[in-house]
Amino acid sequence: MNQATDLIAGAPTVFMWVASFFAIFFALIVFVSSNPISCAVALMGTLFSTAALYFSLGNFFVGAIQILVYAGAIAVLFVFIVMLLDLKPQKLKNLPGRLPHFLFSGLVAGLLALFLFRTIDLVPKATEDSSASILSATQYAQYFLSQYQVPFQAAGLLVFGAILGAIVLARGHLGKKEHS
Amino acid sequence: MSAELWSAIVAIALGAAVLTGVPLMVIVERRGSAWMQRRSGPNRVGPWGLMQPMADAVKFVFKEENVPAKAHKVLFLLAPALAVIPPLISFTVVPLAGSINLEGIEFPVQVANMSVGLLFLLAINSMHVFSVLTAGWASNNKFSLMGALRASSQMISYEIAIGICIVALVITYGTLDLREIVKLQEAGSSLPAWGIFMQPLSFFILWVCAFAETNRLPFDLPEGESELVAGYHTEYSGMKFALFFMGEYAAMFVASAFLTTLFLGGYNVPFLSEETIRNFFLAKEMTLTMASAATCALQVVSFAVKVLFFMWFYVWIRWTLPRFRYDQLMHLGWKVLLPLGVLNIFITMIVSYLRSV
Repeated sequence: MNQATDLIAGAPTVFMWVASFFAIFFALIVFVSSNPISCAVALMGTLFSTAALYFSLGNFFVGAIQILVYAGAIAVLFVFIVMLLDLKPQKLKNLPGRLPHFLFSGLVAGLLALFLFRTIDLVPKATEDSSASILSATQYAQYFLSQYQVPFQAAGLLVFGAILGAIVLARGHLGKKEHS
Repeated sequence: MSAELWSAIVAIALGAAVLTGVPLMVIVERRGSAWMQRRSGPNRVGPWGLMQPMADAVKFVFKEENVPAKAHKVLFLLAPALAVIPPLISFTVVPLAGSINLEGIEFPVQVANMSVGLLFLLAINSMHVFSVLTAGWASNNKFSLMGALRASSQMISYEIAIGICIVALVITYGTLDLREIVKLQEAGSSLPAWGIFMQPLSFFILWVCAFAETNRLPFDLPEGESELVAGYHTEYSGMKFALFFMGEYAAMFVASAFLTTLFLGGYNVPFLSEETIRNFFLAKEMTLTMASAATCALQVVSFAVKVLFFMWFYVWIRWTLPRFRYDQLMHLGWKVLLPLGVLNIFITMIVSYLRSV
């Protein structure tokens, strides 16, 4: 009985490592795969694994929102659009031609890693009562409707503008096609 | 006993119950449809054809598995699994009964007592569309792809109406915790304080959306036999097809449990609060553990009866109404249910403001 209890009590930590592994694994597939659909599916896998990571850390609200918004809506739309466009697997150029790409992405990755290592000490260390610092849905709502009201509304306007822009672009494209 | 071990026990029992419920529901559907159309239905295997699900399961396992030559192998194999997993996961946050008192500690009969259970349920359900989309595309078949495209646009459209209704519900209940929502519906002596009386409009919108989300008739356009052969699972055979089947029924169970929890008082027995029932059993000289277990058993039965009502309603509607046309479906989703949902939010806001003043 005690063994079973210990096994289950250790599960969240194991779960966290598994989720992290899959997040990185799918991210690599997004990067490596030449098939756009595989990329989109793997992107969804990454987003979902990240949500699983939040769950294993005890922050259920952020995890649920991550699935609802990113994995459930945005990634599905990605897959949907890629399927509609019927993209064929891209033929990758040979290595010398891709050298600038490798150099640039390596530079960005290096800078990010440097940034991470320099700032890792600033992040508060996890303690026994770190679950107490996790905000509830009500607290999030209170922050968004009081302290961060203006940025919150501005973000909404930004998204609205983006939607209008997308419609204008799509309509314009259609209009040209009709004339020609 | 630790809380984690208890969760694991409930999870295994729940998984077994749902997976056994699926074949049972299949026989109910087949016999039910036969009854409605004055046919006999499957009645040869065992008494009243009750062993038919067993025969079906054996047949599914032994059938040949086909993978089309030009299919995307990985996604083709992944899609059936993705159809079953989300409904099973989303069942974890549904409260099945009150709590059992073991060694002086109250253990809620629920796998995961999550503070944002409602959001979690919604989030996991939104993953369901993914299996249909993947299956349709990976099969490399025109009919499959058409079915998948129809399914995804249908499910995404109706998810918006669901989200709008959830907003009104959250304003009414003031919480995202499903266990707390069920407890709020416990109060009331004459008329139960059930969600159906507090949010009738959202109940009907969500009920319609539950049909659309599970791709059941009259919203089964993704499968539409007369137009698309079998829609997104045309190319699937054997156990892979059975997994889609199981996924559909498991999703129906989830939708029924969802409606029960939010609108029909969840596990509450009408007119009897958990305390009343427990005190009744305690008065019969039971120990606290026994009394709480008996209370929970009664509540699980109450929950199951409500869920089975919705399940039967699925079957009832399926064999009563014809399929919608695609434009009618989109019209209903965007021009009827969505505006009604928004109107409902306004009414709810005004009422809750007047009540708080």
